[in-house]
Amino acid sequence: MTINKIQEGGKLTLSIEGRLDTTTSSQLHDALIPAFDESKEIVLDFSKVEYISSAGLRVLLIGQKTANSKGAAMKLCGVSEEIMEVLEMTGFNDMLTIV
Amino acid sequence: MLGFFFLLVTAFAAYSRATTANYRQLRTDEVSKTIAFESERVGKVIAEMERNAIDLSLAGRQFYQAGEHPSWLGISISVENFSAFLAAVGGGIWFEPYALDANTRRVCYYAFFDPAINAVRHDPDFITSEYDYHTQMWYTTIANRLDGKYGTVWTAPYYDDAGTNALMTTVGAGIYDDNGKFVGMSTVDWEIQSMVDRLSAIKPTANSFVLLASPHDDYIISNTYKGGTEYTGAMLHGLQWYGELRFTADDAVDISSFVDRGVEYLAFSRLFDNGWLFSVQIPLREIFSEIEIRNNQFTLIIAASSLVLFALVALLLSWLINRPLNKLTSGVAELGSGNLDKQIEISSRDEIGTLASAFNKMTVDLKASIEQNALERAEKERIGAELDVATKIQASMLPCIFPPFPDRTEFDIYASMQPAKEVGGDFYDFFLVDKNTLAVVIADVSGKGIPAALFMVIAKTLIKNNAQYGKSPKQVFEDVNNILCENNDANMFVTVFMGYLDIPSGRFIFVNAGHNPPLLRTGEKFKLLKTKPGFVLAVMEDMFYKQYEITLNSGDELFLYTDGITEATNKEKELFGDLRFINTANNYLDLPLKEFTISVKREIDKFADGEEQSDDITMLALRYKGK
Repeated sequence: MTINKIQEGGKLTLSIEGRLDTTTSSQLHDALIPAFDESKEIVLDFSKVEYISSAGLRVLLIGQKTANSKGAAMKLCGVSEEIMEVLEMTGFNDMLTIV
Repeated sequence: MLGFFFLLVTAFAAYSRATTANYRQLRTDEVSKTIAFESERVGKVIAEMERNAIDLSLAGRQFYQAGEHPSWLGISISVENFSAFLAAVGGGIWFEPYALDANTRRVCYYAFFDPAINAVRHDPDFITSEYDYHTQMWYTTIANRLDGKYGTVWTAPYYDDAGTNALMTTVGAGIYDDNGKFVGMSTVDWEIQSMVDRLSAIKPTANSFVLLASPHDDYIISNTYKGGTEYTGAMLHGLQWYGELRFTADDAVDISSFVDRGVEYLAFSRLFDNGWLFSVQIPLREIFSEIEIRNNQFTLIIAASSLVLFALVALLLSWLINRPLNKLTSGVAELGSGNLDKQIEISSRDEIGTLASAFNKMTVDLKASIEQNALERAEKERIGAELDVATKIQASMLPCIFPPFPDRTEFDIYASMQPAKEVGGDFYDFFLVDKNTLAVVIADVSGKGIPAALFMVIAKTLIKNNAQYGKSPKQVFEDVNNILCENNDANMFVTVFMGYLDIPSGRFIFVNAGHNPPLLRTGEKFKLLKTKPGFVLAVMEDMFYKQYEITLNSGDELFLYTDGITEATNKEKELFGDLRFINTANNYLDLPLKEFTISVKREIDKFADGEEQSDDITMLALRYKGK
């Protein structure tokens, strides 16, 4: 899995490519959490995410909680049908901001 | 070091040059003295010959001035003179024509040593008209050279054709009357062969040669040049290098040099009183050969001692450098063979010492590091072993005796869990809430490992405990969710599906907290039991969960599972997926539940085709048979 960081004004986009599973989710964790110190608007580009496991969901949960506590926004974009299915199944779609 | 040697050798060379110059002077002086000494006798003999000629001429003058001139007296004078002076072979008194007696043209008294009688005797033969001494070369030469003067003159050397054929020379002195008129002469004959031989024997070096000549007569008396007598009797000016010779009439040995046929010579020349030149020619190379040899020896000694010194220094360097290096090398080898306690004892303060102490430090560090590694490995092994135990404990927490309720014929149930690696986060559970109610639970805790396992234990325990208080599934989830939300700093969560089967009626009420929808078999087909799922447990407090209800008929089945099945992956990164899963389940209808789950698992393995199982695979199958 690779993560690309793009800063556009106040917006920081993290483009994720690959599988977000047990082994790779810590990588997203380490990129995502410090990003909230840099920007108040974090966009997670999910268009190239092939798969998300419960560990990946957990990172999204932590990210959302961090955003809430810092008064920042975390958005997911480009979420594929398969990923959306998982998010819906687990109820994460209600908790996250998906655009 | 080499620079030092260079200096040393240069110093020796300079010293040697100075010494050579001194030596050459000494050697030249030495040869000069030898030649002066050897020729001194010749000078003396020449002087004696001259004096005898003078004496004899004075006797002749008195004989001339006496009133009478008896022949016996003349003969007596000659014989007595040469009997007393044996250095000469003979000689006599000769008068000019008619000088002594107006009637007699030739008057002479000649005496000589006759070996036959071993005595000096008078020789009367010179008075003959055939010999006519006045016309002989020696007589005219002496008379011409005297030219009315007192003193002596010498003839050029000649071979005596009168008797012995010996090499001779003659010195003469004039006899004058009171008016100074030349009236006759005295002669002294000198047989010079032995003198020449002796002088020619003077050979300071192997290839030196001797020249004895009479420059006045342009005559070479003797020359040992090229070891022979090639030039004897020849003209002195015929020698190419004659002009190079330097000699003065001061009786000293004069030194000059010349080159002949590529060889450089040093000539030691002496001019005797009688005008003869005695010269010894010595090749320069030979005269100083001794010093050359000594120089060479000296150089050889210097070179040899330099070599020895160099060898000593090399040995010293070797001792100073190679020995510690060897020590270091063997130390490294010893370390390589496993002796980590090896310390090298080199205390020098140079690079080698630094290297050695670096090596020693490395050895210590290496040992510490290896020990640390061993400790860490042991720790890992311990953790691994403990994880293994944890996995077993976790597995043993799940009901694993089948059939669990052998006396209940209304339903069959079977469940299994295969962790991906170590301890996983999946669990299943089933238990009788009361006599007529069977609870089935399947869950997946986010993440893996010990944290997931601990969380799973808590979740499982909480769910079972709450369920047994007679709460509805919805109530159980809402209560358990709130409890789990407390102190969940790790942000773990769990997806759970739980349902209650009312055994007599087949009514099945269930709640889904973010879990995969189970498969429901009605008739000959499985399909997803899709509902709008609730949110996962342990994330947000005070969540509400919606409870659903279906009714199972005899033969209907519920197949609960975790996403380890649907998300199994093959090499092409394809997911096993819902559709493939449903088809697989449909292919194994009516098998006993244990065989059914094993078959499904086998199909998944076949699909994965060697790809590592990335998630726990957990299945729970429930077949409702009714009454």
